Amino acid sequence: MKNRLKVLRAERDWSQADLAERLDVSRQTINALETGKYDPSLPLAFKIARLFGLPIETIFQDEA
Amino acid sequence: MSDEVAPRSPLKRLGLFIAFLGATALSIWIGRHGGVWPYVGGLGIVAASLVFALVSNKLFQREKIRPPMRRYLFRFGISMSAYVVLLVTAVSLGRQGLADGPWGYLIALAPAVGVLGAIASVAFYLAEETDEFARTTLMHSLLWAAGGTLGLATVWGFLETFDKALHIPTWAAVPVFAVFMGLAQAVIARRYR
Repeated sequence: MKNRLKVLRAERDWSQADLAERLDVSRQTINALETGKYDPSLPLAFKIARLFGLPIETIFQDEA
Repeated sequence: MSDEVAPRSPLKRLGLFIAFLGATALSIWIGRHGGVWPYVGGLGIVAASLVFALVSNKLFQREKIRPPMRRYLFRFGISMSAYVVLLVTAVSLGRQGLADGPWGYLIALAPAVGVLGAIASVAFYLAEETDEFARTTLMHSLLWAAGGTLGLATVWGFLETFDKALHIPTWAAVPVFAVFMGLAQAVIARRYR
């Protein structure tokens, strides 16, 4: 699944570690999400959406 | 922004690994002397493993160890230290012939307590880890280790049945599982790099 995490993070000038801390996950998780190698669970996706103040579908795009 | 990707320094990694091997060899050498030295040597091996895990995390990830992992390392360290002490005690009591009779069961089971504690520490970590990605990768490696251990036990068991292999005690399942898990974690870590 594609996502705009890296762009949204860059817009706020946050490092991967900053975002990880805000979401209470490890930096490896952010890296795996940004590279599209790992798709988050629904609760984590909602948490990310709340943090950026955006609807989920504007952050994550279904490739199907 | 900084530290997008964890720094990778093959030289530092090699140096750390050599230091770990050196500390382990030194611990084994110390443990060869009689008296209390086997205890010191055993604890040295556990300490070397823990320091290796902690330093390699600090050196290559450059980030704080999250509380669930810190608790896991603490519990695992305590369990393995207990295992070393109980094993050495049980073996020395057994050599003195004290493992005969009903008390022998207690002596024989004592080392297992430490190993059961180490297994429980992995279960606690899985329950307490709030990072779903860390949980997922750990579960993948646990499944690979379970498959590897069961597969090897089946193959070895049939070889034993037909007298084609030496007998291996069943407690060997834990170190074999740990080796498979270590290999699986290395492969999984590469996949998500």
